[in-house]
Amino acid sequence: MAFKPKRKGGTESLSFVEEGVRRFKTLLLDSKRKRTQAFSFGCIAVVVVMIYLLKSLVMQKTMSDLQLPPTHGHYTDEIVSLQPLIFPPIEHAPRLKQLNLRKLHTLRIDVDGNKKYVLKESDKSTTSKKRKEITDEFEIVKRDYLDHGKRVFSKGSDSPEVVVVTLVDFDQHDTDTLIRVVQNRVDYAQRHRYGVYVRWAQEFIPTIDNQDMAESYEFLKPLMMRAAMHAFPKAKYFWFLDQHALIMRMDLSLQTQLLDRKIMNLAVLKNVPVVKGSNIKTYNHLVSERAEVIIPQTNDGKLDTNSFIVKAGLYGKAFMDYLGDPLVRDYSWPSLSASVGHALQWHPNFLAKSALVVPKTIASVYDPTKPATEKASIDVFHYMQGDFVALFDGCQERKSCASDLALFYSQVQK
Amino acid sequence: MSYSMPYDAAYKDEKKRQFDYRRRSPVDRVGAAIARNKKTVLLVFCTLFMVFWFGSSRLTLFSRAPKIVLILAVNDGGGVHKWKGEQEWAIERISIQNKRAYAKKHGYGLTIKDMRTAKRYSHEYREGWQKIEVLRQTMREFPDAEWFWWLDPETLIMEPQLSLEKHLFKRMDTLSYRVLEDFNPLQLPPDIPYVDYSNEPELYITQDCGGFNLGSFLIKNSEWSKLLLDVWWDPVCYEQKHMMWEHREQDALEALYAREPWIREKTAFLPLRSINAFPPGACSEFSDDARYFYSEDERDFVVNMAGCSFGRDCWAEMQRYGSLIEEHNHKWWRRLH
Repeated sequence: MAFKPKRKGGTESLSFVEEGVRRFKTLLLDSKRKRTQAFSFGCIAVVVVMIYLLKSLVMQKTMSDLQLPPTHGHYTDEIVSLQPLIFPPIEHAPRLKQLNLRKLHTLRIDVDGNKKYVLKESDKSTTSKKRKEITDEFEIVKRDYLDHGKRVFSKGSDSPEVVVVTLVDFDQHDTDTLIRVVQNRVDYAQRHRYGVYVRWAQEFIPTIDNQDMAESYEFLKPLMMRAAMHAFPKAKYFWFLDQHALIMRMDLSLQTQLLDRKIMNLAVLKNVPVVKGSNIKTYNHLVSERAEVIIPQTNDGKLDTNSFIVKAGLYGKAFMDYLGDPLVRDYSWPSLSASVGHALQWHPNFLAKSALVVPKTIASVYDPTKPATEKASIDVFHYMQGDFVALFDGCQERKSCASDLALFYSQVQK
Repeated sequence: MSYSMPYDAAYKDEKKRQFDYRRRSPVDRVGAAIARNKKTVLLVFCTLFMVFWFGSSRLTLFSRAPKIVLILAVNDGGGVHKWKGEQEWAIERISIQNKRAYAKKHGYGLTIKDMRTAKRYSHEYREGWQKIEVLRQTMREFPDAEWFWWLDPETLIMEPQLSLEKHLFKRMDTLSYRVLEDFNPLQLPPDIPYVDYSNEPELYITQDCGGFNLGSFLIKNSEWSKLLLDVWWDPVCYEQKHMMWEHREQDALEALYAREPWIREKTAFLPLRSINAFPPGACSEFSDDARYFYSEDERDFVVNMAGCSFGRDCWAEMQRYGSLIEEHNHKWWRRLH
């Protein structure tokens, strides 16, 4: 008796399964029920898509858990500038000089009595509302000084292709001279739709160990270039032009002057010693448009670091990072150009992406002992009327920087 | 001797019988088939012989450049400072055999590099340069390879059945870490300006209790890596630091990582135990920290007997882990004999 119901149940369940299979077949395979089939397949497709979408949502959540820190400059906070012309308020120079680094930055004294200025990375930018509330003029100057390092060009706008980079020193020059220097860059950049990136040299002093401005000014250049690359993430070329230099020809764009492939090929120095007397020579097979570092070499075989161009690529960035590495930077180099020369001689990968060019292109040096008129063509190295750039290299020794800049600023051909 | 044999009907019959297809045994039939197609059989045999002898991957038809190449450094020191003993030779042999079998199994390339002490590396500017030059040379040797896996001689791959794709590359996102927030034995600055982490890492290294460990690391074959290998060794840096940089290229890389954003942004770290687990003797001050040491239960991938030649017994460690591999990968047919 106990056997019977079990058997019965068995047959019932079998028929149930059979029934299910039959129904399933009619639902999916019967040619007479095309509508239902379309509907059921559609349902399945929708469910699959839903699962897929939900899955990707969940996946994204796990990805956001591993979020990496965003790229930032020396300050973690940033101020977006809609204008591609980023320069500090020059009229603050006398007050900044009065404030001095002592009041602008924090001085830290360690147990051995070493004094060092430090940068507060987490310093927050001042909102315009807050700025209005500040009544003390010096406080405003200080806030502007600290906020200037946070300014970056807005990512959404059209990026300029070339950015002119200059590092100015408010201790060394008066406001008039500084205005000439910065106005010259701004005029030029506006004409060719380039960007301008000018910073106070003092802003970088707290980031390095040797905090003597006279000794360290040159070695701030690679740091400045890196800051410019960060401020203009989409720009291609960064042209560093020293504060003791003026762009004399406003009509010449950097492309027509140097960056154009044909002109580059003419200007590049191939198979010449990297620095005077070196047995390392620049490559004969250099493809000039792939060069990421463009440095003029003077007549006496010196690399001119007063005016050079760096492309924002792997090599350009790495080269600047290398020069700015404290181990390299703080070595007892006689000059920045010596450390650049070292890098090019010891690291063939850098040399392969570096172009040494004739100085006439972007680095004609003004020599007061030689006439600068076009007729008396002195040599291919010194400044003559009609040259693109005039460098006042050596003006500090002559103590004529301000007068040279004033004289030449009036001569700039607009 | 006569020129022609007399006609022998019985003999003829016998021959006919032999050739009669239906009556012959299978072995005879195969033998006859071979006899009829001697040339074809010879060709097939030669082909099989070649494939067996040289390995199918060597034949041009099947050969393709390996995407992953293992670099095994051997002969460290090269018996310059002391005689190389029997055990050292044996250790080297076991290590090479271990990697060779692994590379063959998964179709990776393997190159074995001699790291003997050479005079040109003995100058204080050039000490420790060798590893980098070997890497650069290997990159020239295998231009089509995508990744290089550097292995020190005293390492053993404990799980040879695991491919690198399965063990590492498919789960790099979750396995590796790029910011030294949680584990920073050197107290390097955790965050420096201008680092752009949106780049895919091209160098995977590990950290042990004393900092970076380059006993087992992965480097991509790329422009970035080539530039890194070029910048890694700089006479100016080394001149200033050669008294302090005890671990040479390791310390140099730590310094570069600490200060140069272009290097930091493409460097990632793997947990030590994923490709470089230590035996209990190494990092002995941290013997209760499970992050460093090989775990038999969790079947760690690689064991690195780092520093075993400094006061530990390399041979005993090698034997111990060698027998563990045997045990873990014991095949049933091995029991037959």
